[in-house]
Amino acid sequence: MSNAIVSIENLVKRYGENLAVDHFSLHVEDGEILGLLGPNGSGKTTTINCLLSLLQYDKGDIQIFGKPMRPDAYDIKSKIGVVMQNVAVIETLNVYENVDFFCGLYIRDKATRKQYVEEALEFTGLSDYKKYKPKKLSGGLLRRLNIACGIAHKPKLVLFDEPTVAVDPQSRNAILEGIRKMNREGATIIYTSHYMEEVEELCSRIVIMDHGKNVANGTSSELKNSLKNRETIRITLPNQSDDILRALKEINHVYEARFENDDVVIRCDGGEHNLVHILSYLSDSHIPFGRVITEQPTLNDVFLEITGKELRD
Amino acid sequence: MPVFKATIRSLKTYYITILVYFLVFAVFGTMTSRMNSGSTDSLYEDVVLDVAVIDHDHSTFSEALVNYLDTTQHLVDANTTKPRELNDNVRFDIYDYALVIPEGFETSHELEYYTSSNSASGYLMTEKIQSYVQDIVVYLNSGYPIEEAIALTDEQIADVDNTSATILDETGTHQRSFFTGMFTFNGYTLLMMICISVGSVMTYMKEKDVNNRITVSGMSFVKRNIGLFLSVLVIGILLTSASILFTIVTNLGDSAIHKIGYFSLNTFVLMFVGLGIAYFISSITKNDSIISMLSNMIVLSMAFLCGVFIQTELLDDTIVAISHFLPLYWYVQATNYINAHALGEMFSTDFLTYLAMQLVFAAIFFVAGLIISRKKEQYAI
Amino acid sequence: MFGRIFLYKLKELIRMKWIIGWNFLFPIVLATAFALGFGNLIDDDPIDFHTIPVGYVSELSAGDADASEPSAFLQVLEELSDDTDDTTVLQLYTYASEAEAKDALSTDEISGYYLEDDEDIHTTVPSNGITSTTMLQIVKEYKNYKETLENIAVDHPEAMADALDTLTSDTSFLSQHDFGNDTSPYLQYFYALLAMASLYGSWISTAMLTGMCANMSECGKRFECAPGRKLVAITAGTLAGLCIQALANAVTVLYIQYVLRIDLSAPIGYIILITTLGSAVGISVGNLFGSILKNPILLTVVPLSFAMLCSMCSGLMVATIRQAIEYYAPFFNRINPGAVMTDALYHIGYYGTTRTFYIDLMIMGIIIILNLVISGVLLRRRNYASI
Repeated sequence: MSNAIVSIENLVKRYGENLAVDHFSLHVEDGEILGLLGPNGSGKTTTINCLLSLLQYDKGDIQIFGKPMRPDAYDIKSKIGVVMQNVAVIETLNVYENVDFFCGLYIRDKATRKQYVEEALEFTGLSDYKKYKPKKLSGGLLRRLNIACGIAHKPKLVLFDEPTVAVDPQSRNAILEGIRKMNREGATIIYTSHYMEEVEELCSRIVIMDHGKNVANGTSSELKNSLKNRETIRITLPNQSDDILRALKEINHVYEARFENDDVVIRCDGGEHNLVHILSYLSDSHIPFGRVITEQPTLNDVFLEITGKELRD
Repeated sequence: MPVFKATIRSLKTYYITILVYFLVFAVFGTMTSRMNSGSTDSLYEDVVLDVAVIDHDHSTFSEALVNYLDTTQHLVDANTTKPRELNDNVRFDIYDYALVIPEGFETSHELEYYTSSNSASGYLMTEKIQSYVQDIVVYLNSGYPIEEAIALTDEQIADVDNTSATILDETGTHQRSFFTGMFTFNGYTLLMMICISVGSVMTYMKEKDVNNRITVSGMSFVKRNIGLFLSVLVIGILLTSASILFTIVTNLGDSAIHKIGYFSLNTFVLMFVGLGIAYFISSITKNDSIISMLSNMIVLSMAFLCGVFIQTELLDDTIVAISHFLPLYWYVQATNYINAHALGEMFSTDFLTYLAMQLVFAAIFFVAGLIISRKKEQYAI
Repeated sequence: MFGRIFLYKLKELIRMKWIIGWNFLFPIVLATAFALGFGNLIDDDPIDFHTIPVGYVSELSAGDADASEPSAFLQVLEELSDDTDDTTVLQLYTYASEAEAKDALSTDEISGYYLEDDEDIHTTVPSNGITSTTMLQIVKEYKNYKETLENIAVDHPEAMADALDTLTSDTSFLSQHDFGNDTSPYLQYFYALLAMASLYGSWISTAMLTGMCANMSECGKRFECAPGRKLVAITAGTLAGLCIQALANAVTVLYIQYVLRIDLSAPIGYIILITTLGSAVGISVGNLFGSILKNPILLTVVPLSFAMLCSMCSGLMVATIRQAIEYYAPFFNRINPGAVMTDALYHIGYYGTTRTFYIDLMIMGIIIILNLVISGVLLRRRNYASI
């Protein structure tokens, strides 16, 4: 507990009848990169806005750096950086002026600020675009400017709210690498995204939110291990019969077997050497088979299993 | 049909703006029309003035003077005794003349007046009062008692007032009807409503992505342009009809109600001018705020130069000559024409010219807009 | 912090094209339209008195009076056309016959003519109007004098000489109240224009606040996440807005005075003082709007409509409206910032620094303070029920 940079306890936020955040708790340790996942409308952004004291909430307790977070907690605010979901820059100021303006809200010393701004531009690869107005920037550059404005003052805690939406793979890589670098330099990161592979690659711990609740919490492998399905095996079978399915289901750890087109799809809930057992059954029974594919679960599977497959807003 | 429906629906975004201008029309149009109706086109005809009298003396003499003014002029409440306020009321036509009868007037015979600086009607009023007071003073000095002096003066003034002039041209007595005022003012408000709403609605259709999406939808060029054209026309007709209906409904008893068909015709012709300007503006910019600004600049300036707010007779001749090159001038001319002519003599070359000129300007704006749009597309600005 | 935000807001706002258009360009365009439209009326108001050219035809029979001696009425006309007076009422032309006079009338050489015969004096004019009324008034006065003298001759012949003296003397019983400065009522349009331009400052404020409040924009969110006192920042932004609006107004004033050459008839320093105070009114009204409204469309429509309505009520389109409101509902003029500012400009232009002028300035001050206090209280909060 002593190392918790952010601690949210039982946060409740209602919009009229609608319960946006439902007794949500979260702890972020110093030096962590925490991935906050959830479908649209699950309450991620609302939680972040409450965390930043931009939104009033109905119940709960929020502490940052061990102190209660309030709208006028300037000492806390000065150590936080925010990269919003939507690009938040001033249209009529150029790239340098934007970064300088927002950095200036935190850093008063002129020389330090100048150095920080240059570093932020360097960091986001915008040094060649200093004089450009936001309108003239491409989507990826604009996102990078959005980031530069949020992190120029070298905050201890940075909140990234879906920073890589509509960004090309090259820019995305650069952004993720940058976040890792910031983390290595000592910043604690809270990162929300829809891109599972990004979160899997970047985050040391993942929290999945749905309907305003904390529905899963752990490292990527912990989450995957929590799934019933631990291995999916797909084998092409020219001769298909219900007897084969029955026999397959009797193999240890196999909990589901069914035909999909020319294939039989077998799901296992753990155990080792499942493939060996299945293949030996097939050859022992002289059942001819073709291509064999085995798949480990991904974070995406975890996400869909936990949050369901129906469409969200 | 989809383009038509979408355009009409997108009008909802601008309902506040439309409402504001309609309100301006309803309130200010009515106010100015009330102020100006009954007054005359020539400005000088009405010689019975609104006179405010403040009598501090309350003597036989002062009361006789008040009585004289009451019988010959239209006495109004001064509403104040402060010199500056009296002066402002006179300067801004609340009344034409203010007379202060100070205490001790019966002996001093001194009066103080306020009138719009050097105005002709003010000069005349002063002369009348001077002559009335002078008569009584002369009689008093000659030994008549006050009552007799007043009686004699009243009698001879009444007698003299019978003198009349021979007027060669009697047709110059055009009363300005309330409708004329309303429709003239509508030249400003209707153009504003159409320019802002139609101008803004059209930009969404010109928005590159929206336009591309519609273009790839497989709907034919003709069909979607007909849709756009029809929707814009319907918006124009709705706004125009609303303004006309409002004028009729609020003033059913107006003396010019039988001419409403002609006023309406003229207003519908003006609608095309509005649509033309709207198209022109929307070809220049897609920004709502700049559309609103350009509409204001063009329409408001034009309204001042073409006689909507200030009657053409008062404007400089050069300006009037220049305003011939502005569509609103012809609209105002047509409105005045309808005001001044009887139903039977309405369809003349003059009237048709006024209408035709408006349509020509509508076409000019439309073509200018078309050229700008084309050029912009060519150079991909 | 204050200085930096001030400078950056200044930079941010001045680069908004629509602010340049609305606040700098629009008043200049409108002022030009005004100057073109009735610049001439300011120098030469058509309702001012103009000397009337009149004709005189005598058809008196020779025996009635000495032919070489002009008739009494003609003497009066000659007196009136004597240009040594302040106001020359008539310019007299005599014609030998009515036909000649009619010809002159048809060519607009004269505005009407008198025909004097043994029975009466006949006035002929082309149409009804102030000219005909003036011409008729001369006849009436002449007849009036004649009748007075006839009455006295009968009742008090001994006083006849004195009466004649009084009637022919220039004794005037009336005097016009003199305020010293005679400015054209048409300047009112320019005053109302300056008031309108000042109120346009309100959307500079709403634009400024949009970037500073989390419930209005993404930039606002970023801004409110930062440490530092919000009201200090908003004050800096407000001051930046004020500078821009005051500058825009000063440019318009100088343009009217020196480019259009329309004398605003008051010391330029005073006018700029009033327009600056007016700018502060506009900016503070905008702060109030910004603190109440959230909808981005309303944030431009409401200030625009407000500015338009206020300036119309202060006489932008029809100069007499402000005075009509003053007559029927003066309270409304006290709370309409446009009318207060127009009134201040009008007073300094026409009467100088009167009590009303200072009251106007005071009302503007009160409006500014009220707006700022209310919007300050509303804007102080930094977290919202919904964003």
